Amino acid sequence: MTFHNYTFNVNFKDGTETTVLCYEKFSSPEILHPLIFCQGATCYVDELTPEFAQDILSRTSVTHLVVYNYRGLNTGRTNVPKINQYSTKLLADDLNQIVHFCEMNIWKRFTKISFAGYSFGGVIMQEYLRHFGDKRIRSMVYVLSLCFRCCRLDYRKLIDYAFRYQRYVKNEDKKHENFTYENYEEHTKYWNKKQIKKKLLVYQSLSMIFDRIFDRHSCVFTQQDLNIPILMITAKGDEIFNYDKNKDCLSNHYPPKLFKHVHLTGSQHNIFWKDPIFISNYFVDFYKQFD
Amino acid sequence: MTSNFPLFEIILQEIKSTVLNEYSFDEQEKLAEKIKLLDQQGHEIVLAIIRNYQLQIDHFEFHEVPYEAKTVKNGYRFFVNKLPTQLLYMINHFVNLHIEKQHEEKERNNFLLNK
Repeated sequence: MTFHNYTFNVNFKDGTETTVLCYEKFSSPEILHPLIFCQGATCYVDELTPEFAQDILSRTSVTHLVVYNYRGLNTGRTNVPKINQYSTKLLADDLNQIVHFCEMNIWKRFTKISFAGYSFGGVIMQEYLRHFGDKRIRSMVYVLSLCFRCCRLDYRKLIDYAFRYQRYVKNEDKKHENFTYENYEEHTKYWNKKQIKKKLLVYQSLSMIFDRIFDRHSCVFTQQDLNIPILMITAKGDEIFNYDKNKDCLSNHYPPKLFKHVHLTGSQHNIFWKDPIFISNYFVDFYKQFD
Repeated sequence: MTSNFPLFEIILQEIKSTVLNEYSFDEQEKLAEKIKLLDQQGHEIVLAIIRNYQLQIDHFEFHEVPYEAKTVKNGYRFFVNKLPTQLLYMINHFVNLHIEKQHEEKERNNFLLNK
């Protein structure tokens, strides 16, 4: 099967620049199934493993897989005057603008789109659903993410996870410490990205925490009658969105015929990075069943 | 095997799980009406599907006119009742996809016009 990928820059309404990466497979215009993948917190477009994208394109009906940089990742500027204005609603609005851009410039049709979100991406996807409805949505996949308005995020574990991440980053830092003439550009890029990520992680974590605390009773799944298939992939050892310790609204309230839940035993929050093909297998089954 | 006509392969694959019942007269009429609604590109693809089916699935000779079609001033006239059932299902599937595509493109173009 033939694939190609391309990146381009998009400006949001307020002028903030972002980068969009689209993986596309060779198909006919009649056959169209776009998937927008919302990545985890502070993930750049080039950090989505290409094996995952290619596996999805080759084994499912998906024709376009789109990922984009969250606000602030491109230049380090979020373009919001105050930190509390960086909200999940703002990010959902950004996602809506990405959808609109793709409809106008990539597939050039108003068609239904599948959404998938890993970790923080699931939060944005859910906020999109809340503010813009399911009119444009074909299906949704939560990867290691839960309804963030209903679940109890384990902040202590979140801090543990952050420390583990710091240890991982330390090892990565060592690889980029020694500058030479040949690797100067690559290493500079790494340190610049790291600085931006550090700042943005604060914004993103706070937006999620504040929106959950001050607006916790507005879960879209309990308030609206939605009619889209949803796949939820959770892991027993997930340090952040732990299904076993929470009563999730989706598995309690969502129509069972539209809802599929996979609970991975022996996996942690980082399973998506460690074994992307293992995760994409569940996408394949889901799209076969509901497409 | 790589195909020169991916749309044909995809449609063939997608109708594989469908139970193929004979098309009734009403269904044939309905399909013919839908084909009339297609744009020129749609008509060309329907013809390509018929021709490809004739050569690839039914293994006809290359120079044979497909399924007793008649040559008319603007091209060919096909008789729906002369086409194999599987081919009718394929055409129907394509026509539905193409009409949906036309509709979605029109929506987008209207949006651009009203902007």
